[in-house]
Amino acid sequence: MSRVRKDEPQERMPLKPVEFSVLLALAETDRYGYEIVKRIAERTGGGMRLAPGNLYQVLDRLIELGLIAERSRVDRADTRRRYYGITSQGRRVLASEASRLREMVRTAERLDLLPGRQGGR
Amino acid sequence: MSRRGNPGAGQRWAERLFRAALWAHPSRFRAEYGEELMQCFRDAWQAEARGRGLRERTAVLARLVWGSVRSGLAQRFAGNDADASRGRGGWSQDFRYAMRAVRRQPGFVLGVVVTLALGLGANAAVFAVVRSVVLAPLPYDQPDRLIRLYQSEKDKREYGFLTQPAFVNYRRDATAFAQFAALFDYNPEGADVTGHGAPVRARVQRVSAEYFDVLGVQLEAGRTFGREDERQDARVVVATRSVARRYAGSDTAGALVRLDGEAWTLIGILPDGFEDPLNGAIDFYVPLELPEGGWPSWQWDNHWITVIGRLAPGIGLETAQREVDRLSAVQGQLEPTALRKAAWVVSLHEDRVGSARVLLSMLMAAVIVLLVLACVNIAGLSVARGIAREHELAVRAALGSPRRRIVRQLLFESLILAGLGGVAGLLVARALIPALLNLAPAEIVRGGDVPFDPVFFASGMLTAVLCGVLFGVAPALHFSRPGLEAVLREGGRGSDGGRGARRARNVLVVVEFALALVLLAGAGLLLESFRRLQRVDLYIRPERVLAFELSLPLSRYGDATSRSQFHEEFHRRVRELPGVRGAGAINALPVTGSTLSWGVLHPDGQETQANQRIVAGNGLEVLGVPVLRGRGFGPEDTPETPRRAIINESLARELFPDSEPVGAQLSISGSFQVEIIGIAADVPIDARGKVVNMVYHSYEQYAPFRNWAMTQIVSLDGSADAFLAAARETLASLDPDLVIYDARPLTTVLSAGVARERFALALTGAFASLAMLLAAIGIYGVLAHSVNRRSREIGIRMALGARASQVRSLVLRQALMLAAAGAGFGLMGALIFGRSMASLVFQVRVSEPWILALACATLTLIALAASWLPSHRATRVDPARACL
Repeated sequence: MSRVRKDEPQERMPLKPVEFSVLLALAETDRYGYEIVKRIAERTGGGMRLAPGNLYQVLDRLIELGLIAERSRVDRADTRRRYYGITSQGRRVLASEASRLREMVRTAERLDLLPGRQGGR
Repeated sequence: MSRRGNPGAGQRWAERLFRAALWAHPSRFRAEYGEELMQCFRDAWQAEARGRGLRERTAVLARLVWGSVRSGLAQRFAGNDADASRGRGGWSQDFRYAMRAVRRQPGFVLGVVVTLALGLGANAAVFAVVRSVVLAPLPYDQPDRLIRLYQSEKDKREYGFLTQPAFVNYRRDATAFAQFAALFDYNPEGADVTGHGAPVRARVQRVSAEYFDVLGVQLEAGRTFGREDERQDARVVVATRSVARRYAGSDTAGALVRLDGEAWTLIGILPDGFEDPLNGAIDFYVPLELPEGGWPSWQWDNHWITVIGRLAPGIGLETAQREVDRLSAVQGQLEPTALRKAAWVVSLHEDRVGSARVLLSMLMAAVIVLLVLACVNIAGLSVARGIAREHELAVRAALGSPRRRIVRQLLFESLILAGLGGVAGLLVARALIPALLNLAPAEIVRGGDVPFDPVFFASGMLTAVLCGVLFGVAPALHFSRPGLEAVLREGGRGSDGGRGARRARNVLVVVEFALALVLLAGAGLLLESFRRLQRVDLYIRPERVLAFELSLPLSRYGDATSRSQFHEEFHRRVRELPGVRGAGAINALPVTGSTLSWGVLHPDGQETQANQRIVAGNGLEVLGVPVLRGRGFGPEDTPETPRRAIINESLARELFPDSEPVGAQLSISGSFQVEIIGIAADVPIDARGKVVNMVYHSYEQYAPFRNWAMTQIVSLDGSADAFLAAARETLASLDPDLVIYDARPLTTVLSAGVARERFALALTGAFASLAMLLAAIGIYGVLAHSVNRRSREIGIRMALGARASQVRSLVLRQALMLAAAGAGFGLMGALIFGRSMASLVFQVRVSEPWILALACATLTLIALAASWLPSHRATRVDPARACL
């Protein structure tokens, strides 16, 4: 039983928060396993700390979905590690997930749910 | 652990652990990402753990390992379709199968869960108590450095109190000790607190200056006592915050509290929860009077001080003991009396738990036997289960189900059962801990909580699960072998699991019987010993006698006449209350141990020791102590008449073997003469009937000697509550600041004397009953199963003319053989177990043959009873159907 691939970004959405974070980390530059963990931890102020097992499950799934791909190890400083990078498909999915989230944030703002926004500046 | 630089031992171990945790992931995933995961782990370790403290490294390791295990299991249980289609994975499916299988066999599930619940629950509860009493360190700073000091005559080496001069000298000269402290607990002391509502009785303990330093307690406010406070007129107290609030109305240092009508200044506030290591919760600590020198010679022979201390850093017990020995010799040069004395250093923890250790070790042994029994039972049930399912498993194996899938499903079944049993055991343990403490004698209840120990509970559960898995999965492995056409052909009816399985089940039943016999014999010993204890003649009539305390403060009852008059008047008024038959007082209740053991001297110069009892009012009549010859005390015995005394038979026999003691003179502790007016029966000083020499004095004549702490006793016809209400009113009309406290029936006092024995008996009895039940279930299971499996053989026998009685005896013989083998091993175990109880039993030999025989007989009966149903069923086998 093999997965049917569809190229429409909507087919991959909504992304899980952890998938979104991984894509975001790889959107900046190609990274290897622990670099991704570190980058996500920095971004979330330590709030999201992926265990290695969990990270590679996400990577496995994202590769299967065609959103990221393994990059060549040649020319890398450290050839022992596998580097991962985002694919163009991944970028599209990330962008549409981000705009979906933006729409939701805007709705929340309209409802005055966000702290520190009252009174409008 | 690891050094800085390339992977140290610590990192290598961490990597190994992480690599092991990776097994939680499905194999495909491991093959694809295993090395990457390891690299990621190394990176994480390098960045977050390297060069950090042990605690941080452990936390990082735990997070990474647990993260891997969790995500791996989640991955498996998410039911990875790709894996399942390739005949791997499918964990969730196996789990569902297992759940279904568990639901299909309610009887088996109930057996396992109940066994686990009782075995694990009892085990965890008893262990929790043992741990908190025996194993847990004392709740003080660096508790292993705390010691207790004892003193006695050199040649006796008894655990006795210290003399005041000895303590002061040790305190001044010892260098192996950081501090020494003295406390007075020879008699428990109290004070009436007034000024805040109705007067109440508070517990007071006199302590020396360094007491709080020895225990390492930090005051929350104020100061502790200094040496300058160690005098009789120091009116300063230290108390915990809540006691200060309750009794002084303030928890600030400098507040005043009224004790026995006098104002004392609260100088220090202790944290709540602080307790004396020997005497538990004390309300007020007050200074102990300790002169630095100038003791009269007799003070060197007057032992009454309890001493604790803290060893100096790096000093062990042996070094401390050597120093104490050296100082004892120095003291001998100061005072010849001290030459005869020696002192012993004992760890405070050891001192505290010593008396409870035997009892608790015995219980722990009993409870471990019970756990083993539970495991054996589970193993037995699992074997039977595994055999019963051989057909199902063989079918699955024949249809191509891989063996590891079958094993995995059985593993899940075991885990589900363990989970259920564990939860039930947890509930049992929770309920049992408070019940145990309720029943436990005072030496076991150290105060504070008994925390439940999850680690211990988990290890017990693991043992039980392992048993289940081992005995459940082994047959499964056996039957899931390919090529079991034989099993299938027999239609799951013929064999009984092969010789190996049969032998395994027989061994299990034998072990069960042996263990049950051990517990049963132990319970029998305790029961017989308890029965004999109950038959000890105490020579008193404790029924309907109420005891209570009433303390006369020296500040208002300073002279003997006022104290004596108070008692006389109080007893007179109490006797007039409705429902009261008699009223009196005594300085120590019967069967509560030895007190005031003084020298008594026959006119001819023969000397011996005797306990002294002071009796007021008609105390002896109230207690029912028979005066066998002569007379009791009466109104004619006044302070003006010559001193008179009653002695017990034991003393009369020792000092007057050939002459009449009544009318003779006796010298008491070399300081005064008494005339003997009567001979009383030998009232024992403990529940085991120990009799010592005894001299009874009349309080009316003896009040001036000291301010005796008298326990009031009344014999009643009516209810105790009604009496106490009336007595409080009577007391208030005499002196509104006095307090009646600690009222308890005399029967309660006496039963406290056998609390240890009762506790041991109740628990061992309960365990033995449980063990018998488990053994009965075990033997029933084996026989029922065996009859079921042998129905064809039995049918053939019957077809060939065997009578029902012959068939029945076939089954019963099997039961008896198992029981006999079990009894053989059990007797050996019982003798070993009995030896550990030697100090707990009374007037019973631990190898008492009739008790062992009775235990064997009981178990044999149980074996026969358990086999009755299977044997009955065997006679109902229809030869025609069995042979089809």
